[in-house]
Amino acid sequence: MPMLDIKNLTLELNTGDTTIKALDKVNLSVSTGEIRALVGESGSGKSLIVSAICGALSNQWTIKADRMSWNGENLLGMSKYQRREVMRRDIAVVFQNPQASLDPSATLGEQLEESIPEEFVEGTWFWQRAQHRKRIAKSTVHKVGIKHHQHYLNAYPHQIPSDIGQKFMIAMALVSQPKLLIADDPTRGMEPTTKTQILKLFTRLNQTRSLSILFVSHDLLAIASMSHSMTVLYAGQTVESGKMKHIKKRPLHPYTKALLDSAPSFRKDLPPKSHLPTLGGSIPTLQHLPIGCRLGPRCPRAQRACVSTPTVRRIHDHNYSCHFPLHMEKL
Amino acid sequence: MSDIMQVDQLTFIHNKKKRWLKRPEIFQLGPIDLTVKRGETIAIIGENRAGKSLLAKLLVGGLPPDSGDIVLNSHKYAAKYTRKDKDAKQKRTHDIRMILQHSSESMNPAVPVGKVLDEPLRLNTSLSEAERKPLIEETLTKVGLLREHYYFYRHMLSDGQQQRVALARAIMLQPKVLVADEPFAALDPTIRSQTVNLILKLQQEMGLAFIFISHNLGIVRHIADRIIVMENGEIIEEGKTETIFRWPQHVTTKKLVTAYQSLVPQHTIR
Repeated sequence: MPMLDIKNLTLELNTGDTTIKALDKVNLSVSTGEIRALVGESGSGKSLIVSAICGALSNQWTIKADRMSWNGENLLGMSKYQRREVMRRDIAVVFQNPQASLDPSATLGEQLEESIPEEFVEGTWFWQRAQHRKRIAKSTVHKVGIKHHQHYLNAYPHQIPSDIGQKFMIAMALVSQPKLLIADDPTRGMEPTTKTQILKLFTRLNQTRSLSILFVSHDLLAIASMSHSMTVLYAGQTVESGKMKHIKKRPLHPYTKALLDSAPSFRKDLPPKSHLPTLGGSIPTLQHLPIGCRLGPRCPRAQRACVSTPTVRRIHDHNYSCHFPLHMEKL
Repeated sequence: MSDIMQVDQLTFIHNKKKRWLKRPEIFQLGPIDLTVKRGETIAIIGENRAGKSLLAKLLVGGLPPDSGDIVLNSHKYAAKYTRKDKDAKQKRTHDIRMILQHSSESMNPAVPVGKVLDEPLRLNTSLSEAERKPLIEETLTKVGLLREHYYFYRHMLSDGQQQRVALARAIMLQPKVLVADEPFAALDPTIRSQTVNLILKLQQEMGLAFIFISHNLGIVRHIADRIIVMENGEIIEEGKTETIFRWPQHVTTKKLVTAYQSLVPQHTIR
């Protein structure tokens, strides 16, 4: 039973006279205790999905979905108050740009203490509660791997480097002990040691507290090492989704294969300094989306049939939408 | 391969003055010794705040170092140039060029690509406008763009194309050494592969030495000949790529390499 279940989510941007379809029938589900990776390049609409889940889209956007539910409750039909309650206790989000998402007028300590839910704070009197809050803040900050807690808890967002800011965002998300953590590119620009540290923390939380994680990123190395299943997005369409090990072993969609090829670490046989296999061209902008399969113009296997949008096909748990998938000759 | 650049005892000291109740902050970079061969690719890795970007800026002359020499093509000049030796400065801006971290933000949004690429030529050479334009167009095609992109503005280009323009600007003056500060970090996977291929191709054609900073050890392993590991403003380890990845000596290097290896799927390590 999936916790978060999204089916045929379509997002449209109204720009006065025209509407732009930014997301086109996206399917996504996160089960209990699962780490689901959402992979896609910039402009593929990863962050839009995140904003749609937490209800942070402005009025310009029209959200349409066959189903968008959290534990069986319809997220779109909820009142504002209920939605906020779900977002506060059950779902936590780590946003992309820490410097922009943190409050510039308050210290990091104040912000972190504010996000601790009242139920976790022990003590009868206000000074006891304040002390306990400080203790919780300190231990959470240590948990995400920030060493000089005293210095950083008293700092303002502009005074800290961006990797510390990122860790702080993660700390603020974890402090309310959510059931689902949505991490929007949490390891971007981090050095390898810190990155592994954060990924280990996520894996540990997933195993001990059975925290589900929706891991949004394009760092395939990080994703492959920790996530159980993966959904690949290209220009607002879900391209392929399924179990991580199946996709890694046998990607069916040409785009998934190109993504896997772009990380040289996956292949031992690749001689150093050799030409990396890649797709030509660049990611289409939202105003100039190709019709049909949106990978069409860049796809090496594209044929005439590709001008119509491929339907989602399914082999066991493995969904893909392509007219001419790879590896199918062998079946 | 012959040595193309030698860096000798390059030092930079950042010193914030002591103020009332505030401890002075001192950060010293170097002394750094470095030799670069023709056509060689050197990767600088290390944790944040190790002085990697600072070293890159010192090499291209974006910041004046406190002491040290840079020898380029057996032409020696003090790394810290004064107003007087304008000739040396000119020569250096010719031979060492840089790609900045965020290619999109380092381009002027108000002028077209052609003008952006024209600037290094106008400031550093005595070519006339008629001579400059074909040169710019030639460089544009070299990095895989079209001649028409001369008239494009920044916002009309995609990320990958902007990166190509940044690369074109860097190779405009036919440099010998190219320094890049995280050139691949902000790029998407497929575009990143394209850029890597392009740089490899240009290196073969022009015999460029390429010094780059990266956190992505997969790419570093793929394209670098030598690796420099930095910590707290000092070079703590230096060696061939395979040597560093297989037998790291220093604690920090070990940490970095094991962190990377733990992400790589096990069957590929062997």
